[in-house]
Amino acid sequence: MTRAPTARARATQARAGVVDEPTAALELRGLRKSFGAKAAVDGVDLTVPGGSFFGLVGPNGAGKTTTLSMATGLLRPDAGTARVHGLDVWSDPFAAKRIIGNLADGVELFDRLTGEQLIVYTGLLFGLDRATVASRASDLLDLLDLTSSAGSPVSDYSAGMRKKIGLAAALVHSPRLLVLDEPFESVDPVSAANIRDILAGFARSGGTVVVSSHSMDLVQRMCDHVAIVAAGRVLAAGTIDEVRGEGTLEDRFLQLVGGRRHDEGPEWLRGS
Amino acid sequence: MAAGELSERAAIALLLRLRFRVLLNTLRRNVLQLVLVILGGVQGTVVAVLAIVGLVLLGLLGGDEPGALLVRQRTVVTGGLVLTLGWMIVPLITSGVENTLDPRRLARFPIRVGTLMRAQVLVGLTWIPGVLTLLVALAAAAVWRGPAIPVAIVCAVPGVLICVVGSRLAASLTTAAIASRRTGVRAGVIAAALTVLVLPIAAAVLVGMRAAEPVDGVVDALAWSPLAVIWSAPGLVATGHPLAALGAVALGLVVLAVLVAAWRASVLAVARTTGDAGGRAVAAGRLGALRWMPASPAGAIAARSLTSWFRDTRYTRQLVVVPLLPVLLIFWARLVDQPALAIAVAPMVAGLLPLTMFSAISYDGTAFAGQLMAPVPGWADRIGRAAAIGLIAGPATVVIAVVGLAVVGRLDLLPPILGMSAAVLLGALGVISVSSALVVVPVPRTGRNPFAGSAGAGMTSVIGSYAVTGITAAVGLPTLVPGVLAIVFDRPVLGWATLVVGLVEGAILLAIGVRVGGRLLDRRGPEILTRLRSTGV
Repeated sequence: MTRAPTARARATQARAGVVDEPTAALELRGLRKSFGAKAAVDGVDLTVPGGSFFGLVGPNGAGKTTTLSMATGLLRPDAGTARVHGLDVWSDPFAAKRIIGNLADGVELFDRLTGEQLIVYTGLLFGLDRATVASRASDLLDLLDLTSSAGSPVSDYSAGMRKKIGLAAALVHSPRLLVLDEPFESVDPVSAANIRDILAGFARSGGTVVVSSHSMDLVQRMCDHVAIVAAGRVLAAGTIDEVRGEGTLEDRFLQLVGGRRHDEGPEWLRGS
Repeated sequence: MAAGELSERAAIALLLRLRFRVLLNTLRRNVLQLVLVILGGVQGTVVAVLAIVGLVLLGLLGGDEPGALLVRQRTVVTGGLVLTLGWMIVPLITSGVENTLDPRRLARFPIRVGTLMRAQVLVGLTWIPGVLTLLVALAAAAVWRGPAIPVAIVCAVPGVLICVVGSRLAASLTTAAIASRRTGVRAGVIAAALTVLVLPIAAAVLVGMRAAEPVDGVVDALAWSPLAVIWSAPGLVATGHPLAALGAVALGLVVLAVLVAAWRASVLAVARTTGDAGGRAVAAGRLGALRWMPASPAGAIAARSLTSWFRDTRYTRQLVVVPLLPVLLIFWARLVDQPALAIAVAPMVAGLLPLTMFSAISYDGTAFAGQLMAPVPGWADRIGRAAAIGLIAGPATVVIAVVGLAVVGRLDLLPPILGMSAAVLLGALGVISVSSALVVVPVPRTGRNPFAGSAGAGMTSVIGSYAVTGITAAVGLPTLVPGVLAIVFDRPVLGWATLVVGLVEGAILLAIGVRVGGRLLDRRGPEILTRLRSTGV
């Protein structure tokens, strides 16, 4: 459950210098999705203020990917609504998708294309003209340190490089809202730091970033807002300081989610 | 922990259990695949029963005079050759072949190559096609009388083994070609495979054509070609050539040994590769088709599809095999003096090539999400994919039409043939634009979930292809009827009319297909992605 979303959204926008922004960047209301008998997402309400850097944290199987898929038009919810800057993702998908940059987790890329071709392809899908696509592709390859692999097929890329080229494809149409599912998984520390800088700059300039992550440290350092989800529900949401209170985000997370074990695993697993 | 090596028998039993456990779980989870497997089993059984009845009748009719014996021998040899070729060709043209025991997947476990190969042969023998093939092969004994019967029963075993081993070799060679990074290796593997398959047959055909009765002469020569020789042994006994029969059996066993050796070599080669190579790197700025296609969503999708045609071996292999059909048909038309075959080949190819779009979205896999994230209208996707196929199939059809007609000296029939081809090609693209937005075919994905079964994938493609072909033929009737009439009654005016009608009708069918299929895609995009996630990753 989010507390006083609209007021905070306004405050964040004012801080980011965006004044003509009447609505939240992403607003989820009562989202539900069941797979068979199991409710993967069980009534998620979430408001992501415009211009915020929003972290979504939760244990494995909490419903983060399912929630983000429904928020970006990839998975039809059983119930509930998703709005992006006021545009309903499910009744007006084309308008909403035009302003979303999406890095989905667990999907393949068209790996027969080279990295550069993949960015150009994605840009053309978003209706950019050839000259714009070409210059943005070279900027993005440079920014993400992929220039030397621009001509290699994506199937030859490592897991971290695939994340980076996916991120480049998500950025090429200069979206207003970036939704990144596990963007730092398998990415080396140098690239991760570079990506953090890029995302922080994007948020400072008025864009909104939503990232899901397992890393509490990272979210605490990088994001200004956070939501903790578990078992398909939002357990806490707000600014980092509101959510973590006195302790660290990890303390608060473990306290909310539970499930911490206090032994050292079975006998046979210990080194002799 | 018991980490010792399993006994050979235990290892094979374990592999077979694994294969059938995967099959069972796949079918239990997916009703459509179960239905398709049952349909395929029924279809196969019907064919097998018809074959067995035919063989028994062949044995009952015609008495025992030399002429009747010769007919029987020629029938059995031709049947055996077709059966063996069928086993070897299917893995080349379809990706739906059973691959649970792919050596690459099992490379991390301590299994001997020989064990793996024996397990694969047993899998082949214990699944529907293997069982039916064995039954038909044994039933071939019913054709003969006297000592030829036990010979036929004994020869059925190496005969069926040649089928199964040949099929695994073809599958393994395909995998090796796909996994190879170098174009030269790919071309070499393809050339070697074609040589093994085609050269002995072509040689036999050339030898046979010098005989007084060309067709019978060809068949008699084929009886000594490697893939047919084992099937000729019983007939040689029946016609009183026991020594020749012994020679045929020996030759058949040599063929089997050669196939096994080649298979072992290719398994060893494949087990060392890790995955499907994505093609070679190019210089930055080389955009390929993305450079010259229109800068629009539809153009981007067309360019991406074209790239797949030349870089994704699941597509490329269809490009390699499709030209074989017209070549064989035109060659055969010359051989048996049936110009109709050469005349009809262009519309047939025009109808076949679009079938490759049938599973295009399935081949995309979850990469389809990348397209779903963008504001791409469904019609743009349909136009893009259809354009990519049209760019390949259009020129190919024209060339085949001209060559086919020129070979039989009927270039005057070009207008009606091109008209019918246009109606069939564009009509099939229209029909598939709709069908491929409705049906997601379960296709295997190399390098993904190592034990994902693909049972029924072949059947989905086959039955879907039947349906699409039937519908295309039905909606193409307004062009096909005048076209056939123009050819049969030799009316040039009607032929020119067919050309116009075919182009117009094809364009209309394609426009309808793009519209309807595009709307379906708009509505069902997320559901298609969900289905791709569940079948693929």
